[in-house]
Amino acid sequence: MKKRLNELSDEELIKEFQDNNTIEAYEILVSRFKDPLTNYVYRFLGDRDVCTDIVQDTMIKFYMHKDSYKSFAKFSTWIYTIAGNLARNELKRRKRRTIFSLNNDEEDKKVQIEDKSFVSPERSADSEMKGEIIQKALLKVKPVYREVVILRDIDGLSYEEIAEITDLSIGTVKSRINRGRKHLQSLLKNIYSG
Amino acid sequence: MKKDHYNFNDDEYQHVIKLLNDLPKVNASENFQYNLNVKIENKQFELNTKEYHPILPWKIVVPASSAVAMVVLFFTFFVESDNLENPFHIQPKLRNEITSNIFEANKSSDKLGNSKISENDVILKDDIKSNEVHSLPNSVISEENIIAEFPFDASKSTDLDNIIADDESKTNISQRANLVGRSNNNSSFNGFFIREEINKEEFEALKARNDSLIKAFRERKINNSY
Repeated sequence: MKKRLNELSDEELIKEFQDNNTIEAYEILVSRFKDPLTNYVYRFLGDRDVCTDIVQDTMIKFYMHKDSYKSFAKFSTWIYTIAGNLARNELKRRKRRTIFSLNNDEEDKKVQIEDKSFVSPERSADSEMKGEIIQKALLKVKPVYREVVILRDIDGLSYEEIAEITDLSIGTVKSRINRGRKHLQSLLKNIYSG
Repeated sequence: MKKDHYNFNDDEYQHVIKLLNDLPKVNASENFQYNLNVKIENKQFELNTKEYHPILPWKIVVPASSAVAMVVLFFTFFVESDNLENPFHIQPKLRNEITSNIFEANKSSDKLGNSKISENDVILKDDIKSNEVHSLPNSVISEENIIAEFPFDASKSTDLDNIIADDESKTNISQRANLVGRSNNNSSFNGFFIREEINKEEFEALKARNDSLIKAFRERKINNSY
């Protein structure tokens, strides 16, 4: 039966789960989306532990509110929307915590403010280091731009899908992607010159 | 052809796009699915991440700010500014003005008193005298007279000399009752005052002296202006 379910599309699987409460269908959907969602949330927040919690919560929400999914939408956009909302909430909570925190963690600040000029071209050649630098640069981009850039250039979603996930018009999505890329380009100048 | 207003040129950012595409994919942990299944089987549906609740939600902020705005608008447009006197904008009154106001009030109350007890003999006569003095053109002298008159209130005062000297039978009983404060009306007792008779000669001399001083002062003022 599981083999047969594996051949179904995402939308067919969620329908199966909604109609017959088939847990295998749910598990297949989780296995399909756990990695892309983890990648998306991690790139957005830059925190591995929190990212795992958010993806777990996304899957629990999916399990509990399976009936709120309507068949006219793509399943991927629906689950990305849940994850995106949770990630954005987490970011807001963090921001508030930073504002009201009496203990200013200078070390954390240093990591965030790390300047691109600090990294020499030789060091940036190292792919691992490169990944870290790109991630730090991504975190410096405004969340509204960061979100769409990740969905477009890392997760490879279409403009229409991004517009649906973020509840924005396609024009706004495109302009935000452009702005995000522009900011990233200025932050990552040293990497592609080296 | 639809015009592209946003100037999307992926080639311009191809390096950035390539860098982002080449980023290593971050995958979920190996026990992710197992942990999730355990949670579902145990019905632990409590979320790890707490929902974000802003400190001042819009539900509170919007009505509160609109209420404040309405109050401000009400006081700005609907309440007449004449009714509200800003204490910081009031010019302090001169001392002379304040004292003259007191004299005026006293004078008027005296007149009122006179009309009430017009049958009373001695006080009425004296008051007429004092009124004559007030009508004198010399302001300085008239003020002095007002001061001499203060704090007499004809409605609350009685000439004791006259009462003592006079035959008791002639004295009005109701007036006597009023004098000792046994009547029902709540007139306050002002105390005893001794009246000094004005020496007419002395008064005339003072008036003449004062007039000459004023005249000299005016002449000096005119000379200075030239």
